[in-house]
Amino acid sequence: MKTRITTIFAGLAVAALLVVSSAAVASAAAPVVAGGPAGTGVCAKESAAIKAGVSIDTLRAFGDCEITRRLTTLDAAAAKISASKALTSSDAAALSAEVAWTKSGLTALKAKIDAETSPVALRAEIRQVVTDYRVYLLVVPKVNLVNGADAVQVANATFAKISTNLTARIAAAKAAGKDTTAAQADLDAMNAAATQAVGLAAPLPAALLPLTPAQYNAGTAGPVIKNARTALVQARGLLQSARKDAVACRDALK
Amino acid sequence: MNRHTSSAARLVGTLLIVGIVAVACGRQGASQGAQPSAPVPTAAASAVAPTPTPVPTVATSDAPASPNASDSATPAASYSPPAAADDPVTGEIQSIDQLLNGLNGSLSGSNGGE
Repeated sequence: MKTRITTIFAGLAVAALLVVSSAAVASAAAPVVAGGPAGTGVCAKESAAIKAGVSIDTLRAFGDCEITRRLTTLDAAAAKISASKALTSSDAAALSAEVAWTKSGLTALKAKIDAETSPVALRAEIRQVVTDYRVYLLVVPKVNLVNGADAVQVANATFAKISTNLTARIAAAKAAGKDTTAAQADLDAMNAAATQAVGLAAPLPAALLPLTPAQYNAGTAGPVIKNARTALVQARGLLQSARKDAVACRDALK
Repeated sequence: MNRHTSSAARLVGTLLIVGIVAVACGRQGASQGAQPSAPVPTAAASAVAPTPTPVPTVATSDAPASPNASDSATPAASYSPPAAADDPVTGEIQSIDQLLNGLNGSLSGSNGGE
């Protein structure tokens, strides 16, 4: 009876630990919102003010807020480009130029909005904040996806080093009379997965970088971004698989 | 009448004895049930006990003690993998982990509500 009670309490303690640790994991795995303040909620107050009464002031305040949050997002994107260890210099340069161009255009648009006196023209200029730049649907995804695609290339280079090392290790083990069949199979699988991942990621920067807000508005850029994301998710899965194979190969040679 | 009384008394007596025996058995069963952990160490011990046995088996299979004498003479260059701490492959796998984390970040970016 005493043992049963002890077992029940131990079970409850383990369950409580699992609940606590899963909560910690859930909070740790929460997706990071890239690119600074995001979501329409940032300018909710200004949006509500327009609904309460449309005027030059309320429209201007809304336009300024929407531009400001985009500029904040673009600053974060620029910082990400600068800090990236994966981006090639040419891709980083292209993305930096695009971010700078977008910031410059939005800053000029803000000056125009601040000086605007016609409500009709002001409404059109506020629409341009979205349609002329597509910060959240085009620029930020381009930065993220091109960075991801280049990261797959860097990973592939690292897998090539691992492959060279493990190949030599297999040869040494084989010379010492060890059975290396399993290790060789793991190495072959690793190489195949890494090559496949690169095949998926390599074409992405060239497909993504030329996309323009006009193409997004015409409906042609959206599918390219969606397909690029799908390819990158697949490439990530392949890299994870290649990593497992590398570990298995290394461990098989111990 | 007396016969009926005596048989009834016998029946009651029998039932009492059966009852006492049943209670006694129940207690004994409960006291045995309070030791369910007893078989566990036994099982654990039996699970642990064989582990030393395979170790020499693996060691002997690693060492080329096969009847083929030429095989045991061949490995002049003995194979010894690098220690885990110095293993460059381990370091490169850690680099892959960092790249995968970065990739996760790139794929989890929000569109921010255009």
